[in-house]
Amino acid sequence: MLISKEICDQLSEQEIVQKCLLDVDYLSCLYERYERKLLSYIGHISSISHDQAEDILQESFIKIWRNIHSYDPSIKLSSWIYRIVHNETISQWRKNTGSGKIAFVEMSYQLIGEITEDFNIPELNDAGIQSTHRVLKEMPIKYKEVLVLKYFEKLNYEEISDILKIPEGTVATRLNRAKKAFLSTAKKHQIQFHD
Amino acid sequence: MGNAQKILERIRKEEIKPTPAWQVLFKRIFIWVGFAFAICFGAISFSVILYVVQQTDFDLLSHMDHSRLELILALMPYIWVVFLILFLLLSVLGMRNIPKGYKHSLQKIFGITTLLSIVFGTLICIAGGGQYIEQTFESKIGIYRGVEQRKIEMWSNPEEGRLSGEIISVAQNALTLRDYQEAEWTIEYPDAFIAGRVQLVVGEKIKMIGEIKSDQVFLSSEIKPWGTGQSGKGRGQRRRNNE
Repeated sequence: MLISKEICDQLSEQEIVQKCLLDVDYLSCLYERYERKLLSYIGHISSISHDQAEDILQESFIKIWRNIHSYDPSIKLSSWIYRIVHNETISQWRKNTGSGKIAFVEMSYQLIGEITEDFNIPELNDAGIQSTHRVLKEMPIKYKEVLVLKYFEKLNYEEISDILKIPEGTVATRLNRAKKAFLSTAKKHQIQFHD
Repeated sequence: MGNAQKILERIRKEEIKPTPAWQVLFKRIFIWVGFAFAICFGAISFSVILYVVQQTDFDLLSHMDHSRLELILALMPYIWVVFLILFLLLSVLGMRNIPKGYKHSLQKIFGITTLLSIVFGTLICIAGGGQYIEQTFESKIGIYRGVEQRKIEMWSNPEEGRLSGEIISVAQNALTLRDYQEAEWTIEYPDAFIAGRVQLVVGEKIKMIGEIKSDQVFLSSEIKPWGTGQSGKGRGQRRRNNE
Protein backbone atom coordinates (compact mmCIF):
# COMPACT_ATOMS: atom_id res chain seq x y z
CA MET A 1 0.00 0.00 0.00
CA LEU A 2 1.46 3.36 -0.98
CA ILE A 3 2.09 5.90 1.73
CA SER A 4 0.36 9.19 0.99
CA LYS A 5 2.32 12.15 -0.25
CA GLU A 6 1.27 14.24 2.74
CA ILE A 7 2.80 11.75 5.17
CA CYS A 8 5.94 11.34 3.07
CA ASP A 9 6.48 15.09 2.84
CA GLN A 10 6.52 15.38 6.62
CA LEU A 11 9.36 12.89 6.99
CA SER A 12 13.07 13.52 6.64
CA GLU A 13 15.08 11.08 4.57
CA GLN A 14 16.62 9.45 7.63
CA GLU A 15 13.14 9.01 9.09
CA ILE A 16 11.95 7.39 5.87
CA VAL A 17 14.84 4.91 6.01
CA GLN A 18 14.03 4.09 9.65
CA LYS A 19 10.37 3.57 8.80
CA CYS A 20 11.28 1.43 5.76
CA LEU A 21 13.00 -0.99 8.10
CA LEU A 22 9.68 -1.49 9.87
CA ASP A 23 7.32 -1.22 6.90
CA VAL A 24 8.41 -1.69 3.28
CA ASP A 25 5.56 0.57 2.09
CA TYR A 26 7.64 3.60 3.09
CA LEU A 27 9.98 2.70 0.21
CA SER A 28 7.35 4.34 -1.99
CA CYS A 29 8.15 7.69 -0.30
CA LEU A 30 11.74 7.40 -1.49
CA TYR A 31 10.66 6.35 -4.94
CA GLU A 32 8.23 9.24 -5.38
CA ARG A 33 10.83 11.69 -4.08
CA TYR A 34 13.55 10.58 -6.49
CA GLU A 35 11.77 9.10 -9.48
CA ARG A 36 11.91 12.08 -11.85
CA LYS A 37 15.51 13.04 -11.08
CA LEU A 38 16.79 9.48 -11.34
CA LEU A 39 14.99 8.72 -14.61
CA SER A 40 16.55 11.87 -16.05
CA TYR A 41 19.98 10.80 -14.75
CA ILE A 42 19.67 7.30 -16.21
CA GLY A 43 18.75 8.78 -19.57
CA HIS A 44 21.66 11.21 -19.56
CA ILE A 45 24.42 8.70 -18.85
CA SER A 46 23.10 5.83 -20.90
CA SER A 47 20.91 7.39 -23.60
CA ILE A 48 18.50 4.44 -23.36
CA SER A 49 14.73 4.61 -23.86
CA HIS A 50 12.34 5.82 -21.16
CA ASP A 51 10.82 2.35 -20.73
CA GLN A 52 14.23 0.79 -20.18
CA ALA A 53 15.12 3.58 -17.77
CA GLU A 54 11.99 2.77 -15.72
CA ASP A 55 12.99 -0.90 -15.64
CA ILE A 56 16.47 0.03 -14.44
CA LEU A 57 15.02 2.29 -11.77
CA GLN A 58 12.75 -0.47 -10.49
CA GLU A 59 15.66 -2.92 -10.32
CA SER A 60 17.68 -0.28 -8.52
CA PHE A 61 14.99 0.21 -5.89
CA ILE A 62 14.79 -3.54 -5.34
CA LYS A 63 18.55 -3.39 -4.67
CA ILE A 64 18.08 -0.37 -2.40
CA TRP A 65 15.57 -2.42 -0.40
CA ARG A 66 17.89 -5.45 -0.25
CA ASN A 67 20.84 -3.33 0.90
CA ILE A 68 19.02 -0.95 3.19
CA HIS A 69 21.04 -2.10 6.21
CA SER A 70 24.24 -1.24 4.31
CA TYR A 71 23.36 2.45 4.13
CA ASP A 72 26.03 4.49 5.93
CA PRO A 73 24.36 7.59 7.49
CA SER A 74 27.65 9.52 7.27
CA ILE A 75 27.01 10.04 3.55
CA LYS A 76 23.93 11.65 2.03
CA LEU A 77 21.07 9.26 1.30
CA SER A 78 20.76 10.80 -2.15
CA SER A 79 24.40 9.95 -2.89
CA TRP A 80 23.87 6.36 -1.80
CA ILE A 81 20.73 6.03 -3.92
CA TYR A 82 22.47 7.61 -6.92
CA ARG A 83 25.36 5.17 -6.46
CA ILE A 84 23.09 2.14 -6.67
CA VAL A 85 21.17 3.54 -9.65
CA HIS A 86 24.44 4.51 -11.34
CA ASN A 87 25.90 1.01 -10.98
CA GLU A 88 22.73 -0.65 -12.22
CA THR A 89 22.55 1.73 -15.19
CA ILE A 90 26.16 1.13 -16.21
CA SER A 91 25.63 -2.60 -15.95
CA GLN A 92 22.54 -2.50 -18.17
CA TRP A 93 24.06 0.04 -20.55
CA ARG A 94 27.04 -2.23 -21.16
CA LYS A 95 24.70 -5.02 -22.13
CA ASN A 96 22.69 -2.71 -24.40
CA THR A 97 25.62 -1.15 -26.25
CA GLY A 98 26.46 -4.60 -27.49
CA SER A 99 22.99 -5.03 -28.98
CA GLY A 100 22.66 -1.52 -30.47
CA LYS A 101 19.66 -0.51 -28.35
CA ILE A 102 20.60 3.12 -28.01
CA ALA A 103 18.02 5.90 -28.21
CA PHE A 104 18.67 9.57 -28.72
CA VAL A 105 17.91 11.68 -25.64
CA GLU A 106 16.99 15.32 -25.78
CA MET A 107 18.90 17.75 -23.62
CA SER A 108 17.88 21.28 -22.84
CA TYR A 109 19.62 24.25 -24.45
CA GLN A 110 20.42 25.60 -21.03
CA LEU A 111 22.25 22.50 -19.89
CA ILE A 112 24.19 22.11 -23.11
CA GLY A 113 24.99 25.79 -22.92
CA GLU A 114 26.52 25.33 -19.48
CA ILE A 115 28.81 22.57 -20.68
CA THR A 116 29.92 24.33 -23.83
CA GLU A 117 30.45 27.62 -21.99
CA ASP A 118 32.72 25.88 -19.52
CA PHE A 119 34.55 24.21 -22.39
CA ASN A 120 35.09 27.53 -24.16
CA ILE A 121 32.92 26.64 -27.12
CA PRO A 122 31.21 29.75 -28.51
CA GLU A 123 27.42 30.13 -28.42
CA LEU A 124 25.74 27.38 -30.37
CA ASN A 125 23.03 27.28 -32.97
CA ASP A 126 20.72 24.28 -33.46
CA ALA A 127 23.30 22.38 -35.44
CA GLY A 128 25.83 23.06 -32.71
CA ILE A 129 23.47 21.69 -30.07
CA GLN A 130 22.99 18.51 -32.09
CA SER A 131 26.76 18.22 -32.43
CA THR A 132 27.21 18.54 -28.68
CA HIS A 133 24.68 15.75 -28.22
CA ARG A 134 26.66 13.52 -30.57
CA VAL A 135 29.94 14.24 -28.85
CA LEU A 136 28.53 13.48 -25.41
CA LYS A 137 27.10 10.22 -26.73
CA GLU A 138 30.49 9.15 -28.10
CA MET A 139 32.53 10.02 -25.03
CA PRO A 140 33.97 7.31 -22.77
CA ILE A 141 31.58 6.48 -19.95
CA LYS A 142 33.96 7.52 -17.15
CA TYR A 143 34.04 11.08 -18.50
CA LYS A 144 30.36 11.18 -19.41
CA GLU A 145 29.29 10.20 -15.89
CA VAL A 146 31.24 13.02 -14.17
CA LEU A 147 29.97 15.54 -16.72
CA VAL A 148 26.37 14.47 -16.16
CA LEU A 149 26.70 14.49 -12.37
CA LYS A 150 28.28 17.94 -12.33
CA TYR A 151 26.38 19.77 -15.05
CA PHE A 152 23.07 17.94 -15.20
CA GLU A 153 22.60 16.81 -11.61
CA LYS A 154 24.38 19.89 -10.21
CA LEU A 155 26.24 17.87 -7.61
CA ASN A 156 29.38 19.01 -5.82
CA TYR A 157 32.68 17.13 -5.75
CA GLU A 158 31.94 15.45 -2.42
CA GLU A 159 28.63 14.06 -3.66
CA ILE A 160 30.16 12.88 -6.94
CA SER A 161 32.95 11.24 -4.93
CA ASP A 162 30.39 9.36 -2.80
CA ILE A 163 28.41 8.21 -5.83
CA LEU A 164 31.32 7.01 -7.93
CA LYS A 165 33.40 5.89 -4.90
CA ILE A 166 36.48 7.76 -6.02
CA PRO A 167 38.57 10.41 -4.20
CA GLU A 168 37.52 14.04 -4.67
CA GLY A 169 40.87 14.76 -6.29
CA THR A 170 40.08 12.13 -8.91
CA VAL A 171 36.72 13.79 -9.58
CA ALA A 172 38.50 17.06 -10.34
CA THR A 173 41.03 15.29 -12.56
CA ARG A 174 38.35 13.44 -14.48
CA LEU A 175 36.39 16.65 -15.09
CA ASN A 176 39.52 18.25 -16.42
CA ARG A 177 40.18 15.29 -18.67
CA ALA A 178 36.52 15.20 -19.68
CA LYS A 179 36.92 18.66 -21.14
CA LYS A 180 39.88 17.52 -23.20
CA ALA A 181 38.10 14.31 -24.14
CA PHE A 182 35.07 16.31 -25.27
CA LEU A 183 37.14 18.30 -27.72
CA SER A 184 39.21 15.36 -28.91
CA THR A 185 36.08 13.21 -29.39
CA ALA A 186 34.58 15.98 -31.50
CA LYS A 187 37.75 16.10 -33.58
CA LYS A 188 37.95 12.32 -33.92
CA HIS A 189 34.36 12.03 -35.17
CA GLN A 190 34.73 15.20 -37.25
CA ILE A 191 31.89 16.87 -35.41
CA GLN A 192 31.57 20.59 -36.09
CA PHE A 193 29.92 22.97 -33.60
CA HIS A 194 29.23 25.62 -36.18
CA ASP A 195 28.27 25.51 -39.87
CA MET B 1 -0.47 0.74 -11.61
CA GLY B 2 2.27 3.20 -10.66
CA ASN B 3 5.90 2.15 -10.62
CA ALA B 4 6.17 2.50 -6.83
CA GLN B 5 3.23 0.14 -6.43
CA LYS B 6 4.82 -2.34 -8.87
CA ILE B 7 8.00 -2.37 -6.80
CA LEU B 8 6.14 -3.01 -3.55
CA GLU B 9 4.10 -5.78 -5.12
CA ARG B 10 7.17 -7.44 -6.52
CA ILE B 11 8.91 -7.26 -3.14
CA ARG B 12 5.92 -8.91 -1.48
CA LYS B 13 5.33 -11.47 -4.23
CA GLU B 14 8.96 -12.60 -4.40
CA GLU B 15 9.38 -12.20 -0.62
CA ILE B 16 12.47 -10.11 -1.12
CA LYS B 17 14.07 -9.38 2.22
CA PRO B 18 16.83 -6.93 3.13
CA THR B 19 20.24 -8.44 3.79
CA PRO B 20 20.25 -8.90 7.58
CA ALA B 21 21.99 -6.21 9.60
CA TRP B 22 24.23 -8.78 11.31
CA GLN B 23 25.47 -9.94 7.90
CA VAL B 24 26.33 -6.38 6.90
CA LEU B 25 28.12 -5.87 10.22
CA PHE B 26 29.96 -9.18 9.88
CA LYS B 27 31.19 -8.20 6.41
CA ARG B 28 32.47 -4.84 7.72
CA ILE B 29 34.25 -6.51 10.65
CA PHE B 30 35.70 -9.11 8.29
CA ILE B 31 37.16 -6.39 6.06
CA TRP B 32 38.66 -4.52 9.03
CA VAL B 33 40.15 -7.72 10.45
CA GLY B 34 41.48 -8.65 7.02
CA PHE B 35 43.06 -5.22 6.72
CA ALA B 36 44.64 -5.54 10.17
CA PHE B 37 46.00 -9.00 9.35
CA ALA B 38 47.46 -7.78 6.07
CA ILE B 39 49.26 -4.96 7.92
CA CYS B 40 50.54 -7.40 10.56
CA PHE B 41 51.86 -9.91 8.06
CA GLY B 42 53.34 -7.11 6.02
CA ALA B 43 55.10 -5.90 9.17
CA ILE B 44 56.36 -9.41 9.92
CA SER B 45 57.73 -9.72 6.39
CA PHE B 46 59.47 -6.38 6.72
CA SER B 47 60.97 -7.35 10.09
CA VAL B 48 62.56 -10.43 8.51
CA ILE B 49 63.93 -8.38 5.62
CA LEU B 50 65.34 -5.88 8.11
CA TYR B 51 66.95 -8.68 10.12
CA VAL B 52 68.57 -10.09 6.98
CA VAL B 53 69.95 -6.69 6.00
CA GLN B 54 71.32 -6.35 9.55
CA GLN B 55 73.11 -9.67 9.13
CA THR B 56 74.73 -8.57 5.88
CA ASP B 57 78.44 -8.08 6.23
CA PHE B 58 78.88 -4.91 4.23
CA ASP B 59 82.48 -4.63 5.25
CA LEU B 60 83.03 -7.83 3.27
CA LEU B 61 82.87 -5.66 0.21
CA SER B 62 86.45 -4.55 0.61
CA HIS B 63 87.45 -8.20 0.37
CA MET B 64 85.28 -9.15 -2.54
CA ASP B 65 84.87 -8.25 -6.16
CA HIS B 66 81.15 -7.61 -5.69
CA SER B 67 79.22 -4.38 -5.36
CA ARG B 68 76.97 -3.54 -2.40
CA LEU B 69 73.94 -4.25 -4.54
CA GLU B 70 75.25 -7.69 -5.57
CA LEU B 71 75.88 -8.53 -1.92
CA ILE B 72 72.38 -7.50 -0.89
CA LEU B 73 70.86 -9.40 -3.80
CA ALA B 74 72.82 -12.51 -2.83
CA LEU B 75 71.46 -12.41 0.73
CA MET B 76 68.00 -10.94 0.12
CA PRO B 77 65.19 -13.22 1.26
CA TYR B 78 63.12 -12.98 -1.92
CA ILE B 79 60.24 -14.95 -0.51
CA TRP B 80 59.77 -12.31 2.22
CA VAL B 81 59.94 -9.53 -0.35
CA VAL B 82 57.18 -11.30 -2.28
CA PHE B 83 55.18 -11.69 0.95
CA LEU B 84 55.64 -8.02 1.77
CA ILE B 85 54.41 -6.93 -1.66
CA LEU B 86 51.48 -9.36 -1.46
CA PHE B 87 50.40 -8.16 1.99
CA LEU B 88 50.80 -4.53 1.00
CA LEU B 89 48.49 -5.13 -1.95
CA LEU B 90 45.99 -6.91 0.31
CA SER B 91 46.06 -4.08 2.82
CA VAL B 92 45.52 -1.54 0.01
CA LEU B 93 42.52 -3.60 -1.12
CA GLY B 94 41.25 -3.74 2.45
CA MET B 95 41.59 -0.02 2.95
CA ARG B 96 39.71 0.69 -0.27
CA ASN B 97 36.79 -1.38 1.04
CA ILE B 98 36.50 0.04 4.52
CA PRO B 99 33.77 2.71 4.89
CA LYS B 100 34.88 5.85 3.07
CA GLY B 101 38.15 4.20 2.13
CA TYR B 102 37.51 5.31 -1.46
CA LYS B 103 37.96 8.93 -0.33
CA HIS B 104 41.73 8.42 -0.26
CA SER B 105 43.85 8.24 -3.37
CA LEU B 106 45.67 5.03 -4.21
CA GLN B 107 49.02 6.70 -3.57
CA LYS B 108 47.93 7.85 -0.12
CA ILE B 109 46.56 4.41 0.78
CA PHE B 110 49.73 2.71 -0.43
CA GLY B 111 51.83 5.22 1.49
CA ILE B 112 49.90 4.70 4.74
CA THR B 113 49.94 0.90 4.53
CA THR B 114 53.64 0.85 3.66
CA LEU B 115 54.45 3.20 6.54
CA LEU B 116 52.45 1.06 8.99
CA SER B 117 54.25 -2.09 7.83
CA ILE B 118 57.64 -0.38 8.14
CA VAL B 119 56.98 1.07 11.59
CA PHE B 120 55.52 -2.12 13.08
CA GLY B 121 58.04 -4.25 11.23
CA THR B 122 60.91 -2.26 12.70
CA LEU B 123 59.48 -2.66 16.20
CA ILE B 124 59.07 -6.41 15.68
CA CYS B 125 62.66 -6.66 14.45
CA ILE B 126 64.00 -4.70 17.44
CA ALA B 127 62.13 -7.08 19.73
CA GLY B 128 63.85 -10.03 18.05
CA GLY B 129 60.79 -11.12 16.09
CA GLY B 130 62.50 -10.99 12.70
CA GLN B 131 65.29 -13.31 13.83
CA TYR B 132 62.87 -15.71 15.53
CA ILE B 133 60.62 -16.00 12.48
CA GLU B 134 63.54 -16.39 10.08
CA GLN B 135 65.15 -19.11 12.18
CA THR B 136 61.82 -20.88 12.70
CA PHE B 137 61.29 -20.99 8.96
CA GLU B 138 64.81 -22.27 8.47
CA SER B 139 64.38 -25.07 10.96
CA LYS B 140 60.82 -26.08 10.07
CA ILE B 141 60.65 -25.63 6.30
CA GLY B 142 63.09 -27.82 4.47
CA ILE B 143 63.28 -25.90 1.23
CA TYR B 144 63.74 -22.55 2.94
CA ARG B 145 67.28 -21.18 2.79
CA GLY B 146 67.63 -18.73 5.64
CA VAL B 147 70.14 -15.94 6.13
CA GLU B 148 72.11 -18.16 8.50
CA GLN B 149 72.61 -20.73 5.77
CA ARG B 150 73.55 -18.06 3.28
CA LYS B 151 76.03 -16.58 5.72
CA ILE B 152 77.60 -20.00 6.22
CA GLU B 153 77.93 -20.41 2.46
CA MET B 154 79.50 -16.99 2.12
CA TRP B 155 81.90 -17.50 5.04
CA SER B 156 82.94 -21.02 4.10
CA ASN B 157 85.28 -20.07 1.30
CA PRO B 158 88.83 -20.39 2.61
CA GLU B 159 90.14 -20.36 -0.96
CA GLU B 160 88.72 -16.86 -1.30
CA GLY B 161 89.98 -15.86 2.12
CA ARG B 162 86.81 -16.32 4.19
CA LEU B 163 86.53 -18.94 6.88
CA SER B 164 84.18 -19.46 9.81
CA GLY B 165 83.30 -21.97 12.48
CA GLU B 166 83.54 -22.81 16.15
CA ILE B 167 86.69 -22.58 18.25
CA ILE B 168 87.44 -26.00 19.69
CA SER B 169 90.76 -25.26 21.34
CA VAL B 170 92.97 -22.32 22.13
CA ALA B 171 96.73 -22.80 22.32
CA GLN B 172 99.61 -20.46 22.87
CA ASN B 173 100.25 -19.41 19.31
CA ALA B 174 97.20 -20.51 17.52
CA LEU B 175 93.70 -21.80 17.87
CA THR B 176 91.85 -24.73 16.38
CA LEU B 177 88.60 -24.15 14.54
CA ARG B 178 85.98 -26.60 13.33
CA ASP B 179 84.30 -25.18 10.25
CA TYR B 180 80.71 -25.76 9.17
CA GLN B 181 81.78 -28.67 7.02
CA GLU B 182 83.21 -30.30 10.15
CA ALA B 183 86.81 -29.87 8.94
CA GLU B 184 89.41 -28.74 11.48
CA TRP B 185 91.73 -25.83 10.85
CA THR B 186 94.69 -24.38 12.62
CA ILE B 187 94.29 -20.62 12.78
CA GLU B 188 97.31 -18.39 13.05
CA TYR B 189 96.64 -14.76 13.83
CA PRO B 190 99.93 -12.97 14.59
CA ASP B 191 98.78 -9.51 13.50
CA ALA B 192 95.07 -9.99 13.14
CA PHE B 193 92.54 -7.25 13.79
CA ILE B 194 90.25 -8.73 16.41
CA ALA B 195 86.80 -7.19 16.86
CA GLY B 196 85.99 -5.95 20.35
CA ARG B 197 83.30 -8.56 21.08
CA VAL B 198 85.52 -11.51 20.21
CA GLN B 199 86.92 -13.31 23.26
CA LEU B 200 88.68 -16.26 21.58
CA VAL B 201 87.36 -18.91 23.92
CA VAL B 202 86.32 -22.50 23.31
CA GLY B 203 82.81 -22.73 21.91
CA GLU B 204 82.84 -19.25 20.45
CA LYS B 205 81.70 -18.96 16.84
CA ILE B 206 83.78 -16.63 14.70
CA LYS B 207 84.36 -15.63 11.11
CA MET B 208 87.67 -14.60 9.62
CA ILE B 209 89.31 -12.88 6.68
CA GLY B 210 92.72 -14.21 5.69
CA GLU B 211 94.37 -16.74 3.44
CA ILE B 212 95.30 -20.37 3.38
CA LYS B 213 98.88 -20.70 4.50
CA SER B 214 99.20 -24.44 4.03
CA ASP B 215 97.07 -27.55 4.24
CA GLN B 216 94.33 -26.88 6.84
CA VAL B 217 96.27 -23.89 8.17
CA PHE B 218 94.64 -20.48 7.83
CA LEU B 219 96.47 -17.21 8.39
CA SER B 220 93.91 -14.75 9.67
CA SER B 221 94.10 -10.96 9.27
CA GLU B 222 90.64 -10.19 10.75
CA ILE B 223 88.57 -12.05 13.32
CA LYS B 224 84.93 -11.11 13.92
CA PRO B 225 82.07 -12.50 15.96
CA TRP B 226 79.70 -14.75 14.03
CA GLY B 227 76.52 -13.31 15.52
CA THR B 228 75.98 -10.04 13.69
CA GLY B 229 76.80 -8.27 10.46
CA GLN B 230 78.58 -5.55 12.38
CA SER B 231 82.30 -6.03 12.64
CA GLY B 232 82.70 -3.83 15.67
CA LYS B 233 85.25 -1.82 13.76
CA GLY B 234 86.68 0.89 15.85
CA ARG B 235 86.13 -1.09 19.00
CA GLY B 236 88.52 -3.87 18.11
CA GLN B 237 92.28 -3.92 18.11
CA ARG B 238 95.23 -5.68 16.65
CA ARG B 239 96.39 -8.25 19.18
CA ARG B 240 99.37 -10.49 19.30
CA ASN B 241 98.99 -14.06 20.52
CA ASN B 242 98.54 -14.33 24.31
CA GLU B 243 97.14 -10.82 24.68
